[in-house]
Amino acid sequence: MSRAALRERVAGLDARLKLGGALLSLLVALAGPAPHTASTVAALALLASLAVGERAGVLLRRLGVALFSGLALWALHGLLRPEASGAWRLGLVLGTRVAAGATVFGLLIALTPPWALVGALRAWRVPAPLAEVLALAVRYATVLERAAHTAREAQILRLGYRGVRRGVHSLGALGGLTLVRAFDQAHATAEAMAARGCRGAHLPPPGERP
Amino acid sequence: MPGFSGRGCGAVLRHCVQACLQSAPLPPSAGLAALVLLLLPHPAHAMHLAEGILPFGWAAGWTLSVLPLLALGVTRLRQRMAQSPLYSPFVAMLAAAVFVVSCMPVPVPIIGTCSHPCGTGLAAVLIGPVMTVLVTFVALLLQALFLAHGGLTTLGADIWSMGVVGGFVGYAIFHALRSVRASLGVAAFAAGMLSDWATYAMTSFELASALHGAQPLGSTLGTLLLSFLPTQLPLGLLEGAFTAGAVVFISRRRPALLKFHALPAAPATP
Repeated sequence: MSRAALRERVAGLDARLKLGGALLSLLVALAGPAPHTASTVAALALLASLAVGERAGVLLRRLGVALFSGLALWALHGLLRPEASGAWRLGLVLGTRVAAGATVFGLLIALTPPWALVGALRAWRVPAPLAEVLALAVRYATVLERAAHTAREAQILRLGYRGVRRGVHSLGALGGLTLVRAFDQAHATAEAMAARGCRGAHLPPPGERP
Repeated sequence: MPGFSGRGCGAVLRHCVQACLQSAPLPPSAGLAALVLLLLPHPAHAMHLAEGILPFGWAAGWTLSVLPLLALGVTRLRQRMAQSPLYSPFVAMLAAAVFVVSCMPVPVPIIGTCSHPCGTGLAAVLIGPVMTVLVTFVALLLQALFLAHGGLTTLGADIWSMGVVGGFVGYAIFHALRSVRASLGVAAFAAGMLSDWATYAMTSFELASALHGAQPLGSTLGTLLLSFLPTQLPLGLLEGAFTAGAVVFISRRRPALLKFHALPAAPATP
Protein backbone atom coordinates (compact mmCIF):
# COMPACT_ATOMS: atom_id res chain seq x y z
CA MET A 1 0.00 0.00 0.00
CA SER A 2 1.40 3.42 -0.94
CA ARG A 3 1.96 6.15 1.66
CA ALA A 4 -0.77 8.32 0.18
CA ALA A 5 -3.28 5.48 0.31
CA LEU A 6 -2.31 4.63 3.88
CA ARG A 7 -2.60 8.29 4.87
CA GLU A 8 -6.03 8.51 3.26
CA ARG A 9 -7.12 5.36 5.03
CA VAL A 10 -5.93 6.54 8.46
CA ALA A 11 -7.38 10.02 7.89
CA GLY A 12 -10.72 8.39 7.12
CA LEU A 13 -10.87 6.58 10.46
CA ASP A 14 -13.44 7.65 13.05
CA ALA A 15 -12.18 10.76 14.86
CA ARG A 16 -13.28 9.28 18.21
CA LEU A 17 -10.96 6.34 17.63
CA LYS A 18 -8.03 8.57 16.69
CA LEU A 19 -8.58 10.98 19.59
CA GLY A 20 -8.99 8.11 22.05
CA GLY A 21 -5.87 6.39 20.76
CA ALA A 22 -3.85 9.59 20.95
CA LEU A 23 -5.02 10.35 24.50
CA LEU A 24 -4.23 6.81 25.61
CA SER A 25 -0.75 7.00 24.06
CA LEU A 26 -0.09 10.35 25.74
CA LEU A 27 -1.22 9.06 29.12
CA VAL A 28 0.91 5.93 28.75
CA ALA A 29 3.91 8.09 27.80
CA LEU A 30 3.42 10.33 30.84
CA ALA A 31 2.52 7.66 33.38
CA GLY A 32 4.78 4.78 32.30
CA PRO A 33 8.29 4.14 33.61
CA ALA A 34 10.50 6.91 32.29
CA PRO A 35 12.22 7.26 29.92
CA HIS A 36 11.58 3.86 28.32
CA THR A 37 7.82 4.13 27.83
CA ALA A 38 7.94 7.68 26.54
CA SER A 39 10.77 6.90 24.13
CA THR A 40 8.90 3.80 22.86
CA VAL A 41 5.73 5.82 22.30
CA ALA A 42 7.75 8.53 20.55
CA ALA A 43 9.51 5.98 18.33
CA LEU A 44 6.23 4.31 17.38
CA ALA A 45 4.56 7.64 16.62
CA LEU A 46 7.60 8.66 14.58
CA LEU A 47 7.43 5.45 12.55
CA ALA A 48 3.70 5.94 12.03
CA SER A 49 4.32 9.53 10.91
CA LEU A 50 6.92 8.36 8.40
CA ALA A 51 4.59 5.60 7.20
CA VAL A 52 1.79 8.06 6.43
CA GLY A 53 4.19 10.39 4.62
CA GLU A 54 4.75 13.21 7.10
CA ARG A 55 7.50 15.52 5.90
CA ALA A 56 10.93 15.01 7.46
CA GLY A 57 11.28 18.72 8.17
CA VAL A 58 8.09 18.75 10.22
CA LEU A 59 9.18 15.69 12.19
CA LEU A 60 12.62 17.16 12.84
CA ARG A 61 11.04 20.37 14.12
CA ARG A 62 8.87 18.37 16.53
CA LEU A 63 11.88 16.40 17.75
CA GLY A 64 13.92 19.59 17.94
CA VAL A 65 11.56 20.94 20.59
CA ALA A 66 12.02 17.77 22.61
CA LEU A 67 15.80 17.83 22.24
CA PHE A 68 15.85 21.45 23.24
CA SER A 69 13.69 20.92 26.33
CA GLY A 70 15.80 18.00 27.50
CA LEU A 71 19.08 19.83 26.91
CA ALA A 72 17.81 22.91 28.68
CA LEU A 73 16.69 21.00 31.77
CA TRP A 74 20.00 19.17 31.88
CA ALA A 75 21.88 22.46 31.56
CA LEU A 76 19.71 24.18 34.18
CA HIS A 77 20.27 21.45 36.76
CA GLY A 78 23.94 21.28 35.90
CA LEU A 79 24.26 25.02 36.37
CA LEU A 80 22.22 25.29 39.54
CA ARG A 81 23.69 22.25 41.29
CA PRO A 82 26.93 21.20 39.58
CA GLU A 83 27.74 18.85 42.49
CA ALA A 84 24.52 16.82 42.07
CA SER A 85 24.41 13.84 39.72
CA GLY A 86 21.54 12.65 37.54
CA ALA A 87 20.87 15.87 35.67
CA TRP A 88 21.25 14.05 32.37
CA ARG A 89 18.53 11.59 33.42
CA LEU A 90 16.10 14.40 34.21
CA GLY A 91 16.84 15.92 30.82
CA LEU A 92 16.37 12.56 29.12
CA VAL A 93 13.04 11.96 30.86
CA LEU A 94 11.72 15.38 29.92
CA GLY A 95 13.08 15.16 26.37
CA THR A 96 11.49 11.78 25.69
CA ARG A 97 8.17 12.86 27.22
CA VAL A 98 8.06 15.98 25.07
CA ALA A 99 9.11 13.92 22.03
CA ALA A 100 6.24 11.49 22.68
CA GLY A 101 3.78 14.34 23.17
CA ALA A 102 4.91 16.27 20.10
CA THR A 103 4.93 13.27 17.76
CA VAL A 104 1.62 11.74 18.95
CA PHE A 105 -0.23 15.05 19.05
CA GLY A 106 1.34 16.18 15.77
CA LEU A 107 0.25 12.96 14.08
CA LEU A 108 -3.28 13.34 15.44
CA ILE A 109 -3.80 16.88 14.16
CA ALA A 110 -2.08 16.11 10.86
CA LEU A 111 -4.56 13.31 10.14
CA THR A 112 -7.73 14.76 11.67
CA PRO A 113 -9.40 18.06 10.75
CA PRO A 114 -10.40 20.27 13.71
CA TRP A 115 -14.12 19.96 12.98
CA ALA A 116 -13.89 16.17 13.19
CA LEU A 117 -12.18 16.40 16.58
CA VAL A 118 -14.92 18.73 17.80
CA GLY A 119 -17.44 16.19 16.48
CA ALA A 120 -15.66 13.50 18.49
CA LEU A 121 -15.94 15.61 21.64
CA ARG A 122 -19.65 16.10 20.97
CA ALA A 123 -20.06 12.38 20.56
CA TRP A 124 -18.32 11.93 23.92
CA ARG A 125 -21.12 13.89 25.61
CA VAL A 126 -19.35 17.17 26.15
CA PRO A 127 -22.09 19.50 27.56
CA ALA A 128 -24.28 20.68 24.67
CA PRO A 129 -23.77 24.46 25.16
CA LEU A 130 -20.00 23.97 25.23
CA ALA A 131 -20.13 21.75 22.15
CA GLU A 132 -22.16 24.42 20.36
CA VAL A 133 -19.68 27.14 21.29
CA LEU A 134 -16.80 24.92 20.17
CA ALA A 135 -18.45 24.09 16.85
CA LEU A 136 -19.23 27.76 16.12
CA ALA A 137 -15.74 28.88 17.13
CA VAL A 138 -14.09 26.28 14.89
CA ARG A 139 -16.36 27.28 12.00
CA TYR A 140 -15.74 31.02 12.32
CA ALA A 141 -12.10 31.09 13.44
CA THR A 142 -10.83 31.09 9.87
CA VAL A 143 -13.45 33.68 8.84
CA LEU A 144 -12.35 36.06 11.59
CA GLU A 145 -8.71 35.32 10.87
CA ARG A 146 -9.18 36.31 7.23
CA ALA A 147 -11.01 39.50 8.24
CA ALA A 148 -8.21 40.41 10.66
CA HIS A 149 -5.59 39.60 8.04
CA THR A 150 -7.27 41.86 5.48
CA ALA A 151 -7.53 44.68 8.01
CA ARG A 152 -3.87 44.24 8.96
CA GLU A 153 -2.78 44.38 5.33
CA ALA A 154 -4.70 47.63 4.94
CA GLN A 155 -2.97 49.00 8.04
CA ILE A 156 0.42 47.98 6.67
CA LEU A 157 -0.33 49.71 3.36
CA ARG A 158 -1.14 52.87 5.32
CA LEU A 159 2.20 52.54 7.18
CA GLY A 160 0.36 51.71 10.35
CA TYR A 161 3.24 49.67 11.72
CA ARG A 162 6.00 52.19 11.10
CA GLY A 163 7.56 52.71 14.51
CA VAL A 164 6.78 50.97 17.77
CA ARG A 165 4.28 53.55 19.05
CA ARG A 166 2.28 53.60 15.84
CA GLY A 167 2.51 49.82 15.56
CA VAL A 168 1.09 49.27 19.04
CA HIS A 169 -1.70 51.77 18.32
CA SER A 170 -2.54 49.95 15.08
CA LEU A 171 -2.47 46.61 16.85
CA GLY A 172 -4.94 47.85 19.47
CA ALA A 173 -7.25 49.09 16.73
CA LEU A 174 -6.90 45.78 14.93
CA GLY A 175 -7.80 43.87 18.10
CA GLY A 176 -10.82 46.12 18.65
CA LEU A 177 -11.89 45.75 15.04
CA THR A 178 -11.62 41.96 15.25
CA LEU A 179 -13.85 41.94 18.33
CA VAL A 180 -16.36 44.28 16.70
CA ARG A 181 -16.50 41.95 13.69
CA ALA A 182 -16.89 38.99 16.03
CA PHE A 183 -19.84 40.78 17.63
CA ASP A 184 -21.40 41.50 14.23
CA GLN A 185 -20.86 37.91 13.18
CA ALA A 186 -22.48 36.74 16.43
CA HIS A 187 -25.52 38.91 15.64
CA ALA A 188 -25.78 37.45 12.14
CA THR A 189 -25.37 33.91 13.46
CA ALA A 190 -27.97 34.45 16.21
CA GLU A 191 -30.42 35.79 13.64
CA ALA A 192 -29.79 32.82 11.37
CA MET A 193 -30.29 30.44 14.30
CA ALA A 194 -33.49 32.23 15.30
CA ALA A 195 -34.75 32.01 11.72
CA ARG A 196 -34.27 28.25 11.93
CA GLY A 197 -36.32 28.01 15.09
CA CYS A 198 -33.63 28.22 17.78
CA ARG A 199 -34.79 30.26 20.80
CA GLY A 200 -31.73 30.34 22.99
CA ALA A 201 -31.64 26.62 23.72
CA HIS A 202 -28.70 24.65 22.39
CA LEU A 203 -28.65 23.28 18.89
CA PRO A 204 -29.68 19.66 18.46
CA PRO A 205 -26.73 17.28 18.18
CA PRO A 206 -25.66 16.70 14.59
CA GLY A 207 -26.55 13.44 12.97
CA GLU A 208 -23.34 13.21 11.01
CA ARG A 209 -20.60 10.82 11.94
CA PRO A 210 -17.64 12.64 13.60
CA MET B 1 5.99 34.59 25.02
CA PRO B 2 7.24 32.18 27.63
CA GLY B 3 6.11 28.61 27.76
CA PHE B 4 7.76 25.44 26.68
CA SER B 5 5.94 25.17 23.40
CA GLY B 6 6.94 25.05 19.79
CA ARG B 7 9.30 27.80 18.79
CA GLY B 8 8.65 29.72 22.01
CA CYS B 9 10.51 27.33 24.27
CA GLY B 10 13.82 28.42 22.84
CA ALA B 11 13.50 31.98 24.02
CA VAL B 12 12.35 30.93 27.47
CA LEU B 13 15.10 28.45 27.95
CA ARG B 14 17.74 30.82 26.67
CA HIS B 15 16.66 33.28 29.32
CA CYS B 16 16.60 30.56 31.97
CA VAL B 17 20.18 29.77 31.14
CA GLN B 18 21.12 33.43 31.02
CA ALA B 19 19.72 33.85 34.52
CA CYS B 20 21.59 30.80 35.76
CA LEU B 21 24.85 31.98 34.24
CA GLN B 22 24.72 35.04 36.43
CA SER B 23 24.13 33.12 39.65
CA ALA B 24 26.18 29.94 39.63
CA PRO B 25 29.63 28.61 38.69
CA LEU B 26 29.75 27.02 35.26
CA PRO B 27 30.98 23.45 34.69
CA PRO B 28 32.46 22.92 31.19
CA SER B 29 29.75 20.52 29.98
CA ALA B 30 26.92 22.75 31.15
CA GLY B 31 28.70 25.72 29.65
CA LEU B 32 28.77 24.05 26.26
CA ALA B 33 25.05 23.24 26.51
CA ALA B 34 24.31 26.77 27.62
CA LEU B 35 26.23 28.14 24.66
CA VAL B 36 24.24 25.96 22.27
CA LEU B 37 20.96 27.04 23.85
CA LEU B 38 21.89 30.70 23.82
CA LEU B 39 22.93 30.67 20.19
CA LEU B 40 19.86 28.97 18.85
CA PRO B 41 17.57 31.52 17.19
CA HIS B 42 14.01 31.19 18.45
CA PRO B 43 11.31 33.83 18.29
CA ALA B 44 9.34 34.16 21.56
CA HIS B 45 6.11 32.98 20.09
CA ALA B 46 4.12 30.72 22.34
CA MET B 47 2.45 31.05 25.68
CA HIS B 48 1.53 27.45 26.38
CA LEU B 49 3.07 24.45 27.99
CA ALA B 50 3.90 21.92 25.30
CA GLU B 51 2.40 18.46 25.19
CA GLY B 52 4.40 16.16 27.47
CA ILE B 53 6.14 18.84 29.52
CA LEU B 54 4.17 18.06 32.68
CA PRO B 55 4.42 14.68 34.45
CA PHE B 56 1.21 12.66 34.60
CA GLY B 57 0.31 13.63 38.17
CA TRP B 58 0.69 17.35 37.57
CA ALA B 59 -1.13 17.25 34.23
CA ALA B 60 -4.03 15.34 35.80
CA GLY B 61 -4.06 17.61 38.85
CA TRP B 62 -4.27 20.84 36.85
CA THR B 63 -6.92 19.36 34.57
CA LEU B 64 -9.11 18.03 37.39
CA SER B 65 -8.83 21.24 39.37
CA VAL B 66 -10.01 23.38 36.46
CA LEU B 67 -13.10 21.22 35.80
CA PRO B 68 -15.31 22.90 38.47
CA LEU B 69 -14.59 26.30 36.94
CA LEU B 70 -15.41 25.00 33.48
CA ALA B 71 -18.62 23.50 34.83
CA LEU B 72 -19.49 26.84 36.41
CA GLY B 73 -18.83 28.51 33.07
CA VAL B 74 -21.11 26.04 31.27
CA THR B 75 -23.86 26.63 33.85
CA ARG B 76 -23.52 30.40 33.44
CA LEU B 77 -23.55 29.98 29.67
CA ARG B 78 -26.72 27.90 29.85
CA GLN B 79 -28.43 30.57 31.97
CA ARG B 80 -27.38 33.36 29.63
CA MET B 81 -28.46 31.37 26.57
CA ALA B 82 -31.94 31.14 28.04
CA GLN B 83 -31.96 34.94 28.39
CA SER B 84 -30.50 35.83 25.03
CA PRO B 85 -30.01 33.76 21.88
CA LEU B 86 -27.10 36.05 21.02
CA TYR B 87 -25.02 34.95 23.97
CA SER B 88 -23.65 31.61 22.81
CA PRO B 89 -22.73 32.87 19.30
CA PHE B 90 -21.04 35.82 20.95
CA VAL B 91 -19.02 33.64 23.33
CA ALA B 92 -18.05 31.44 20.37
CA MET B 93 -17.03 34.44 18.25
CA LEU B 94 -15.13 35.91 21.19
CA ALA B 95 -13.24 32.63 21.59
CA ALA B 96 -12.48 32.68 17.86
CA ALA B 97 -11.43 36.34 18.16
CA VAL B 98 -9.13 35.57 21.13
CA PHE B 99 -7.63 32.80 19.00
CA VAL B 100 -7.10 35.25 16.12
CA VAL B 101 -5.77 37.99 18.42
CA SER B 102 -3.30 35.58 19.96
CA CYS B 103 -1.94 34.87 16.48
CA MET B 104 -1.17 38.54 15.78
CA PRO B 105 2.55 39.21 15.79
CA VAL B 106 3.77 41.99 18.11
CA PRO B 107 7.32 43.30 17.80
CA VAL B 108 9.17 43.13 21.15
CA PRO B 109 11.64 46.02 21.06
CA ILE B 110 14.16 44.92 23.72
CA ILE B 111 14.77 41.37 22.57
CA GLY B 112 14.31 42.09 18.87
CA THR B 113 11.77 39.38 18.18
CA CYS B 114 8.03 38.95 17.77
CA SER B 115 5.46 37.69 20.20
CA HIS B 116 1.69 37.82 20.48
CA PRO B 117 -0.93 39.05 22.96
CA CYS B 118 -2.77 36.64 25.29
CA GLY B 119 -6.12 38.38 24.84
CA THR B 120 -7.60 36.91 28.03
CA GLY B 121 -7.41 40.23 29.92
CA LEU B 122 -9.44 41.77 27.11
CA ALA B 123 -11.94 38.90 27.18
CA ALA B 124 -12.32 39.26 30.97
CA VAL B 125 -13.14 42.94 30.55
CA LEU B 126 -15.84 42.08 28.01
CA ILE B 127 -17.53 38.98 29.44
CA GLY B 128 -16.28 38.56 33.01
CA PRO B 129 -13.81 36.09 34.52
CA VAL B 130 -15.96 32.97 34.71
CA MET B 131 -16.88 33.06 31.05
CA THR B 132 -13.25 33.90 30.26
CA VAL B 133 -12.30 30.47 31.58
CA LEU B 134 -14.66 28.93 29.03
CA VAL B 135 -13.44 31.22 26.24
CA THR B 136 -9.83 30.35 27.11
CA PHE B 137 -10.62 26.64 26.97
CA VAL B 138 -12.10 27.03 23.47
CA ALA B 139 -9.32 29.35 22.25
CA LEU B 140 -6.60 27.03 23.60
CA LEU B 141 -8.26 24.03 21.99
CA LEU B 142 -8.39 25.91 18.68
CA GLN B 143 -4.71 26.80 18.99
CA ALA B 144 -3.84 23.20 19.74
CA LEU B 145 -5.92 21.87 16.85
CA PHE B 146 -5.05 24.49 14.22
CA LEU B 147 -1.49 25.43 15.17
CA ALA B 148 -0.22 22.60 17.41
CA HIS B 149 0.47 25.17 20.15
CA GLY B 150 -0.05 23.69 23.57
CA GLY B 151 -1.52 20.23 23.91
CA LEU B 152 -4.23 18.06 25.36
CA THR B 153 -2.53 16.88 28.56
CA THR B 154 -1.33 20.41 29.37
CA LEU B 155 -4.69 22.04 28.59
CA GLY B 156 -5.69 22.19 32.27
CA ALA B 157 -2.47 23.95 33.31
CA ASP B 158 -2.73 26.36 30.38
CA ILE B 159 -6.34 27.21 31.29
CA TRP B 160 -5.22 27.88 34.85
CA SER B 161 -2.50 30.30 33.85
CA MET B 162 -4.30 32.14 31.05
CA GLY B 163 -7.98 31.80 31.79
CA VAL B 164 -8.22 31.59 35.57
CA VAL B 165 -5.31 33.66 36.85
CA GLY B 166 -5.03 35.99 33.84
CA GLY B 167 -8.79 36.40 33.53
CA PHE B 168 -9.54 37.01 37.20
CA VAL B 169 -6.60 39.40 37.67
CA GLY B 170 -7.54 41.37 34.52
CA TYR B 171 -11.18 41.61 35.57
CA ALA B 172 -10.38 42.62 39.16
CA ILE B 173 -7.87 45.28 38.13
CA PHE B 174 -10.16 46.74 35.47
CA HIS B 175 -13.14 47.06 37.81
CA ALA B 176 -11.06 48.26 40.76
CA LEU B 177 -9.61 51.06 38.66
CA ARG B 178 -12.96 51.93 37.08
CA SER B 179 -14.51 52.12 40.55
CA VAL B 180 -12.00 54.84 41.48
CA ARG B 181 -12.90 56.68 38.26
CA ALA B 182 -9.78 55.80 36.27
CA SER B 183 -10.26 56.39 32.55
CA LEU B 184 -11.24 53.48 30.33
CA GLY B 185 -7.84 53.43 28.61
CA VAL B 186 -5.86 53.46 31.88
CA ALA B 187 -8.01 50.73 33.45
CA ALA B 188 -7.76 48.56 30.34
CA PHE B 189 -4.00 49.13 30.12
CA ALA B 190 -3.47 48.03 33.72
CA ALA B 191 -5.82 45.06 33.27
CA GLY B 192 -4.02 43.86 30.15
CA MET B 193 -0.54 44.38 31.58
CA LEU B 194 -1.16 42.79 34.97
CA SER B 195 -3.15 39.89 33.54
CA ASP B 196 -0.19 39.17 31.25
CA TRP B 197 2.30 39.26 34.10
CA ALA B 198 0.02 37.18 36.32
CA THR B 199 -0.27 34.60 33.52
CA TYR B 200 3.50 34.28 33.36
CA ALA B 201 3.90 34.13 37.10
CA MET B 202 1.46 31.23 37.10
CA THR B 203 3.20 29.56 34.15
CA SER B 204 6.48 29.85 36.07
CA PHE B 205 4.87 28.27 39.10
CA GLU B 206 3.45 25.42 37.03
CA LEU B 207 6.83 24.73 35.45
CA ALA B 208 8.76 25.09 38.69
CA SER B 209 6.41 22.85 40.65
CA ALA B 210 6.62 20.10 38.03
CA LEU B 211 10.28 20.32 37.10
CA HIS B 212 12.20 21.42 40.18
CA GLY B 213 13.32 17.85 40.97
CA ALA B 214 15.63 17.84 44.00
CA GLN B 215 15.93 21.63 43.92
CA PRO B 216 13.91 23.70 46.39
CA LEU B 217 10.73 24.92 44.70
CA GLY B 218 11.44 28.52 45.67
CA SER B 219 14.82 28.73 43.99
CA THR B 220 13.56 27.15 40.75
CA LEU B 221 10.54 29.43 40.77
CA GLY B 222 12.77 32.42 41.37
CA THR B 223 15.06 31.41 38.53
CA LEU B 224 12.14 30.97 36.15
CA LEU B 225 10.55 34.27 37.17
CA LEU B 226 13.87 36.06 36.73
CA SER B 227 14.39 34.40 33.39
CA PHE B 228 10.97 35.57 32.20
CA LEU B 229 11.65 39.19 33.15
CA PRO B 230 13.57 40.29 30.04
CA THR B 231 10.73 39.22 27.76
CA GLN B 232 7.77 39.74 30.05
CA LEU B 233 8.38 43.30 31.15
CA PRO B 234 8.11 44.70 27.61
CA LEU B 235 5.46 42.16 26.62
CA GLY B 236 3.24 43.05 29.55
CA LEU B 237 3.49 46.71 28.60
CA LEU B 238 2.64 45.83 24.99
CA GLU B 239 -0.30 43.68 26.07
CA GLY B 240 -1.52 46.58 28.21
CA ALA B 241 -1.26 48.98 25.30
CA PHE B 242 -2.99 46.47 23.05
CA THR B 243 -5.85 45.95 25.52
CA ALA B 244 -6.25 49.70 26.04
CA GLY B 245 -6.25 50.32 22.27
CA ALA B 246 -8.84 47.59 21.68
CA VAL B 247 -11.14 48.68 24.53
CA VAL B 248 -11.00 52.35 23.52
CA PHE B 249 -11.68 51.37 19.89
CA ILE B 250 -14.69 49.28 20.97
CA SER B 251 -15.99 52.05 23.22
CA ARG B 252 -16.04 54.39 20.22
CA ARG B 253 -17.41 51.97 17.61
CA ARG B 254 -19.63 49.61 19.64
CA PRO B 255 -20.12 50.89 23.20
CA ALA B 256 -22.84 48.28 23.77
CA LEU B 257 -20.18 45.61 23.59
CA LEU B 258 -18.60 46.86 26.82
CA LYS B 259 -21.91 46.44 28.64
CA PHE B 260 -22.53 42.98 27.20
CA HIS B 261 -21.28 41.29 30.36
CA ALA B 262 -23.90 43.05 32.48
CA LEU B 263 -26.85 43.05 30.10
CA PRO B 264 -26.88 40.90 26.99
CA ALA B 265 -28.70 42.55 24.13
CA ALA B 266 -31.24 40.52 22.23
CA PRO B 267 -31.02 40.57 18.46
CA ALA B 268 -33.98 41.52 16.30
CA THR B 269 -35.57 38.15 15.64
CA PRO B 270 -38.41 37.60 13.20
